[in-house]
Amino acid sequence: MGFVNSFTSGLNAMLVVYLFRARVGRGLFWVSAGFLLIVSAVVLSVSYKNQWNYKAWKPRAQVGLNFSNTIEMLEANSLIIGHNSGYSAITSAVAGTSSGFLQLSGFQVFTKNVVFSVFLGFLLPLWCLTFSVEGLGSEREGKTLFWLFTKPIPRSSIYLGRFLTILPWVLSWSLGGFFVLSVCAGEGGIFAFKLFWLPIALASITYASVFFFMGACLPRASLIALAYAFVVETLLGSMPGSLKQLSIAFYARSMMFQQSAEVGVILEQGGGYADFPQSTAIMFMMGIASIFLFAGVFVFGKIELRGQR
Amino acid sequence: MIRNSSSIPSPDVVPLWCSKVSKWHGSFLGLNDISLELRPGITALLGANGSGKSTLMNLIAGQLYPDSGFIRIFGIDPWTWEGKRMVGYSPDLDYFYPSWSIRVFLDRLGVIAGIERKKIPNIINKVLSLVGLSSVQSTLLKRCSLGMRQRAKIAHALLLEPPLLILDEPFRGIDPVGRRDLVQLLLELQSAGKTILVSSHELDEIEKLTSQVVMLRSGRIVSAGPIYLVKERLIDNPVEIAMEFQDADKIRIIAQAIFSHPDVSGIQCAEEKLSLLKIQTRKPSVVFPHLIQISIIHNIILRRLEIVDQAPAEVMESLFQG
Repeated sequence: MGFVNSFTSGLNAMLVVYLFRARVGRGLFWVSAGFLLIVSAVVLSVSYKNQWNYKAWKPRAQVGLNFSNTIEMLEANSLIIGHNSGYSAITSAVAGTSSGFLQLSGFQVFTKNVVFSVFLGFLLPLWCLTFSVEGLGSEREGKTLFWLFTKPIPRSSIYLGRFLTILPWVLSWSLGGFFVLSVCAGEGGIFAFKLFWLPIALASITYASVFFFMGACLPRASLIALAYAFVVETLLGSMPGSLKQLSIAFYARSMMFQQSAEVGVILEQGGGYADFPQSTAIMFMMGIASIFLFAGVFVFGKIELRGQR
Repeated sequence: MIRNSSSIPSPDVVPLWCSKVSKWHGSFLGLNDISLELRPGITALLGANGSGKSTLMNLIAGQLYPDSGFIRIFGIDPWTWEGKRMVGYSPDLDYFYPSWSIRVFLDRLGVIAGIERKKIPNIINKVLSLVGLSSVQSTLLKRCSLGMRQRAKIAHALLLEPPLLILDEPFRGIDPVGRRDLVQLLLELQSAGKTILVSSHELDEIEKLTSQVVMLRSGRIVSAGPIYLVKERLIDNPVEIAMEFQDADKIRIIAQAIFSHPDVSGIQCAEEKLSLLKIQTRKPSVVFPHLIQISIIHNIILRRLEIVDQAPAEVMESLFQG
């Protein structure tokens, strides 16, 4: 049997044996589920108060009318001065545009305050980590990896096969979690889900590749992955300037920024998100995922089970 | 069937060929320049804990990679996936998937090994019957006794019917009846033409299995070949005897008296304990009575008198008894 046959057979065996047997650290799982619950509750409470919009927003350091009052005033003005057709038309147009913006502001407020910050910077890495690190990490820590290494299949098929078995779980958990948050946020949230599912799926695959590598090839992978998630993704990802480009979330944000711009919503001025077209952001994410997959195959192929006894 | 080899073999037909294999564990040299050639039959690998038995077995099974030298199984490097087809390995480790039953364990490893799905049930029935686990095949591995898990490991090693079997401490935890059955099984496999390398501290079982032994000490092969030759070579193998006294008053006089014996090749006072002498000799059976005689003559109380490397001592005793 040649390499290709053996590789395919190994890949297939991994899927048969492990696809529905994803190992998850109970602690990490409950932490992830707990955060989903907490953030969902917060989002739900904001929805309950109908605050996913700019209706109550006031320019900084100003008192008096809020955004909603201003629009109402503009609409009233255009009615009052109806005989002056030119001025009335302009006032009506401004009021109408502002009204339309107000309708879309649910999506904008939810994206800026939940998706861009807490979801991409914290929840998504944590959720991806929950399933990815344990993929081969549990075998490594449980010292059962040995049984796989005694079998006549290429190690690359073990690595890639096990990666494929965790991927559906990672995607289900991250997209499922995002869907729950989106539904809790109402109309704006559901719009955000429809618009952003692709960058989130791509970011999940990229995170999965990075964390899977850590689990398979590094000792104490859970701690290293948690440190990475908090230091690189949460802290660096929210830094000004080009430092944030070191985080995977940056490229997901870039994609989201472009997608929002296409529907007429500018999410955040500055931040450098406009510099990366969607295609470039996709290329970066898939590039990172591929690099870590190849690095994983290489390092995993060299692992000696020293100190197993 | 063993050759402590430095000659040029024809690796394609030799079941196991190790050439100048060394392996470091960090700064510790686990195996030092091992050359070995095995032919079909059973060979016992003997040595104390830490002598390098498991390291050598892990290298042969392709779990470790030699730092220098190389290993071939019928001409194939055991580190490669092709090489794994040639080796059935029962390791001396006790880590399993606890929630799997014995049968599920074998079934899933069979799938991973690339055995055709429809053939797996028959193969599993056969290996379970061989190791005597048919009646308990549904038991979860976490509920299995040590002996059952040992037999499950041996069943796993037999799944692919490989030509070379590496069994690290296969008798550990198995009851006397199970041991007898296992000896029988290994002898049958030998008759079927398999090459089997067994490490064990259970010398009774080893002697029932084979007359071919390889002895390791501190990562080196001290002796290899038929048991009678090993005995002869072991006679000249230096050992260290620890002799500790109640007090250190007469230690200088005693050391002089001991060193006067022609079979004592060296003596040193332990730095960490002044009342402890370490005596090097090639003939412990001759030197032991001399040491006891000296302690009687000088009227000193002995706290300890033993060969430091205990396991080889046991091995030697057993070999000498034979």
